[in-house]
Amino acid sequence: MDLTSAHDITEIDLSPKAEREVARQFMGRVQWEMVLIGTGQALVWITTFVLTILGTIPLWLGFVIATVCCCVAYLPSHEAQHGNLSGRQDRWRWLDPLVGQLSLVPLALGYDVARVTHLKHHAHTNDPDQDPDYKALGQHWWEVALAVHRGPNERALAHHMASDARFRAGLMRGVLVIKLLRLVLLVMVVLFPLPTLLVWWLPRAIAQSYLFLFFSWEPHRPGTEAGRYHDTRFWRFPVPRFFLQSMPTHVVHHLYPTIPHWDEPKALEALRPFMIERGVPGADEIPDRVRLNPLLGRSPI
Amino acid sequence: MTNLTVEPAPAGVVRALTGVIGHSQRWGMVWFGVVFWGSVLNAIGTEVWPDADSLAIGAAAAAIGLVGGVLAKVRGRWI
Repeated sequence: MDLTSAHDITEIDLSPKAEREVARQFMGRVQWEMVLIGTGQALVWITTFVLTILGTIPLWLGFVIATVCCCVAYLPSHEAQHGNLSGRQDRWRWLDPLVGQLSLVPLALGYDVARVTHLKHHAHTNDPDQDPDYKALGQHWWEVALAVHRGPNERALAHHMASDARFRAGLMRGVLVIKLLRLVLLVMVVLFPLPTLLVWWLPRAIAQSYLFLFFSWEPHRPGTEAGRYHDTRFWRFPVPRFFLQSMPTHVVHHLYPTIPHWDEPKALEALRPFMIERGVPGADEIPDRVRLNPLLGRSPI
Repeated sequence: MTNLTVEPAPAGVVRALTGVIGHSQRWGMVWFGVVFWGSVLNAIGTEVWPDADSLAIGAAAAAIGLVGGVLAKVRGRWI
């Protein structure tokens, strides 16, 4: 039976068990694409930084390359945070923290901080008191783009620090890495001010706004709904999804975080009938064919 | 699954790290203003006014960075 066809929606088993079986067929592989992107962008960024310092490439070109690197730096680490680089296979587990941290260097972020806060985001999506990403909410895109530079949702962090020892330990480990990277940033800016501004600090700031707009704000708009099938939506944007790193399909990730990001389009096709049945926001808009579909459009909020 | 036993860090190291983190939490914005923005503004200043007194440009850049950092600390945010 073709689970991707809308016509068969009333004829297939739409039980939670059947849904899990469909989802399970996409889980468990080593996501080599993300390993490649994570390590590749970090190496390109470091090389660009060095070549800009040496004057081999102009600052403007270094800025453009570094901005692209910073924008793609988070997603491989995000996959690592869920064990999706290794596919949770024991022999490849080492890939997750290694690539997960290496990929975050341009963003001057610590893997453990990103991991523990992101897992809390999954557990408490859209909860202002417990979702560390809740700061990303706002009425207009520019509010979100600025809000991300004002620090984390401290109320949520304080709550989890007080109630979860593993969260606290992870946060402390990651904060040390962040402090170390910030120290390196300050040393570099003293030695090489303009390359550090234009190939690290500014690309990182732009990427932070881009990442929160398209990785957090848009998928969870309007940000008032809680619950597994209601806190995330399928959405369209007037820009091909490839420039948004396929975040319009992020709703699949919130339903099944261990489905590799690279496989989300085909998982979305297969899970579409279940999502329509459960009333997932925007599910009616999911086309039969998501693979290679730019998903152009504009979803209502 | 491999069980890794991690030795706890010596108390002195923990105290030092906690102190550094605590200091940077309290004064990080001020340091960032002076060091980061001071360095950047100094570099821009020497590019724009190559014949000017470099010490004056450096002092002005550090002062602007310091004021910006203090304001950010008072407000609790940069923007």
